[in-house]
This record gives sequence, C-alpha cells and structure tokens, in this order.
Amino acid sequence: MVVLGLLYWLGQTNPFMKLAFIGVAALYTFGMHIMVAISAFRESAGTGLMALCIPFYAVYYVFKVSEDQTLQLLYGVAFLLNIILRFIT
Amino acid sequence: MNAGLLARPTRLWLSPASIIASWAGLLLALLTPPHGTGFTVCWVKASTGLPCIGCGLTRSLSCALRGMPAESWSYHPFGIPLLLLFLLAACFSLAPIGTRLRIQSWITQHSAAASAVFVLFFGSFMTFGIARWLVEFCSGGFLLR
Repeated sequence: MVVLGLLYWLGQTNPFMKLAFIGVAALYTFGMHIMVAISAFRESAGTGLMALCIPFYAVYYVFKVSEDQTLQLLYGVAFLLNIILRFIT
Repeated sequence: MNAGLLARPTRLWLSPASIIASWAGLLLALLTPPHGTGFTVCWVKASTGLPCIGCGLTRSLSCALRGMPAESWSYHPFGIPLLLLFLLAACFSLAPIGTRLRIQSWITQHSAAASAVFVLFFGSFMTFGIARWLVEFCSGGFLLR
C-alpha cells in the first residue's frame, strides 16, 4: 500500500510512474480477486462460482459472509484502487 | 438441506450455495445473448482492462446452452463442463429426498475422490484464469482500457 501510495504521488508528475502505478494496481487487484476466489471456493463450489461470475457477489461475500478481517481490509483497498483506476485517465 | 450438517466433500459440491449458483448460472446462460450484451459487468475488467478469472464464463455458458461448442470454448474453456455441472446440481435439487440422500451418501463414501476432483477441476480453472491474465498483462492489456 505504501508502494502504491508512493507511485500514485510520483505519477502526478511522471507519466512512467503513473504507468507503473496502473500496472501495480492491476496486479494488486487481480491478486485480491484470486484470494477472494480461493476463500470462496473453500466454502463451496457454488460460493466460489458466484464470487467469480455474479457481479458484486464478491463484495457481498467478503463483507457479509467471510469473517476474515484481513481479507476485508485488503479487498476494501482493492475496491478503492479500482475506483481510482476508473477515473485516473 | 443444512450446509453445516453436510460432510465436507458433499458440502463442496452440493451445498445450498452450489445449488443456488447452478440455478443462477443456468438462468444467466438462458437470458444472456450468446455473444454478450456489449458491456462488461465485471468491475475488475472495467477498471483494469484485464480479464478476471471468470470473464467470458456467462457468454461461454450461453453458447454451450445453445449448442455452439466452438464459440463456448473460445469465450471460456470451462463453460461446457460447468454447464454440465450446473445441470447435474439442478437435477439433484429437484430429485426426491431419498435419491438426494443416496447421492450424498455416495459422495461421502467416495470423499477422497470427490475432494480430488474438486481440487483438480477448480485448480485448473484458477490456473487457466491466472495464465490468461498474465498473458494479457505482459502484452500490456492494462494500457488498452
């Protein structure tokens, strides 16, 4: 998160750093997506598939079904990152 | 059917969530046009430009349901096996209670094999998703969003 913050700050003036921020943010988002999928698949095949296929079920799963607070925090950051990514360019 | 009372292999395959996912998947496959609606509902894809693990699955299921195996394969190779899985789970949910109990008992008796199939199937599903994402990432797919 510190790296992402630093890249975001540097990316305000440096286009290469902005590109690096987008790449790292995409990597982080996908990593979180995998963590949520694995956590959901450990519940059942159906939970995993719903987390992958039904829009926003993953958000519901992380914050309502899962009790893993680390996952909730990291996923929350990923969600915020995606909002930033949506509007950065 | 209480998920907490089911043995683990049975819970993995036939929990209430799996039955709901199966019916939801079949309904989505039925309602979604074979080549999609033209816009993405995946927020990972929408914000990064890169496909998530499940991207293309709904279109793949839709094509598979309409007898278009080649298109189904091109959208997502796991569409056809998942459609079969969904149909089996949906049939299971409609079966009489005696039949359901027999199936659950059979899965529990073969728990090692059921768990191994689960790990193999969803392991390869995840591996495919990760490999596809890496290929797109390395080719600069996130720059095209």
